[in-house]
Amino acid sequence: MFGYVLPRRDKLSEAENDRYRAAYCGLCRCLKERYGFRARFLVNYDMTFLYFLLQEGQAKQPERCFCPAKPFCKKDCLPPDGVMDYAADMTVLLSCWKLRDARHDDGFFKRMAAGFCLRLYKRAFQKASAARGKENCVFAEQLARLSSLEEQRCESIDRAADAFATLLKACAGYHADENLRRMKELLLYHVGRFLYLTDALEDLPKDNRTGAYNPLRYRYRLQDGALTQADREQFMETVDASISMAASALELLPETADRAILHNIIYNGLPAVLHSVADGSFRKRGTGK
Amino acid sequence: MKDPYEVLGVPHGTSEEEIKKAYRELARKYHPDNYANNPLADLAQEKMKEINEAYDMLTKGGTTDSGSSYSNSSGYSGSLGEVRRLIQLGNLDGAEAKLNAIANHNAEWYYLRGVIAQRRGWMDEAAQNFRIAANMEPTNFEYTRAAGTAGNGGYTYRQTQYDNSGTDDLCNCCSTLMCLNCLCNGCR
Repeated sequence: MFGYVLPRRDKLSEAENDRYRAAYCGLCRCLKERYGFRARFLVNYDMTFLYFLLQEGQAKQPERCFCPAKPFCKKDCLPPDGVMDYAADMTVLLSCWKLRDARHDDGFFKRMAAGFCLRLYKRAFQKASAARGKENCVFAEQLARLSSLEEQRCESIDRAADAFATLLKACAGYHADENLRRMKELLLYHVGRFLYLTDALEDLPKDNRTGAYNPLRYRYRLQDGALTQADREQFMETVDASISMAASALELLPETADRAILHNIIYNGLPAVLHSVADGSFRKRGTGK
Repeated sequence: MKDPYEVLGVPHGTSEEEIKKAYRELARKYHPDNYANNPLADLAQEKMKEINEAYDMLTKGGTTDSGSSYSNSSGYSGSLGEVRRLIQLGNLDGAEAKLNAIANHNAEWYYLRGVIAQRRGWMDEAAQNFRIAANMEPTNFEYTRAAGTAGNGGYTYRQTQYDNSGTDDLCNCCSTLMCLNCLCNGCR
């Protein structure tokens, strides 16, 4: 996962901030309950977003629960339910697939570390893939498609992003209702596309150095390893189009308790992340914390 | 039947002026133009219908169109008309195959290629094809509009000010799970 799907905290109310935090902590606790302590390390913001997206009906009230990071004070956690379990399963599956991917890519030490972590999460992965076989099949299929596109040095950013976007779209399979699923599929497709393209933009300098595949290197004519002003504008526009499509789907979704948080993530969070990645300030944020 | 006040998102007993305002706001949001070439166009149309009905009910027989002006597929003929029909049916692969079999690449051909890409969510290819179509026939409103809105997929979400101050981690605790910072941080 990328950690790009974030809300704009300053635009959330105090109560919404508390809800968001409680969902994150609830997901962390749910991971522990389903997969044991070490699965807690997999909790992330992208999957917290998935929890809010798939949520239906009445607002769940938070419970007080123990947090090993702050052992002397209890934290608010949203209670586990069907959606939380699903988000936890997806967290395990997607994290493990990411580790599997890292075993082939990066440098020697990273490969070793990824192999080691994979062994740590082997049983969790087996359990999650048994519980969510359909989703896991799509993940495997689309990642295989993605690596074959990478090998072919695919020149279309749309086609390269399509594999990852289709992968994320599978998470809408939680819903049985067709219309609801269609809306969330479109939303997740475009969030996936946003993730893939934003990641490509962030990795561009690194991939230029190492010669690794990056769709932007083949789609645009780079100057000194960077996009020209005109290409950059076009690229930002196409990613922005995905945010718009995600917003168009969000507007059709029925009201839910935490809709304001979803609204904030898509309307405020994603554009802010895209722009901070583009101007290079994304990873610098939070330094000095 | 849903409560019309609920559909328009206004409390019971709202003045007609306020109802009108809420209606206009919603009608702009779900307007078919916003969902042109969007795979969810049918759902937006349904929503629009619901809003129109609610408004009609509250204003007692006020006349609003129920989105029937939408749908521009009829009136086209020939093989490109067939492509349009397939797109309308959601058969994008079929439409693409048909399109690729046509040797004459005119402005409409590029436009339709753009529509297929847009329906798939392939915004970069959509924008490229719309631009070619608009360049070949700059007087065609359909093409120039598509080229103009390709950047936002047809749907405009309110642009917000971009600054990065708000994307700080909220509760980046579990990744540094066992850190001692818990001792100095208190409960937040």
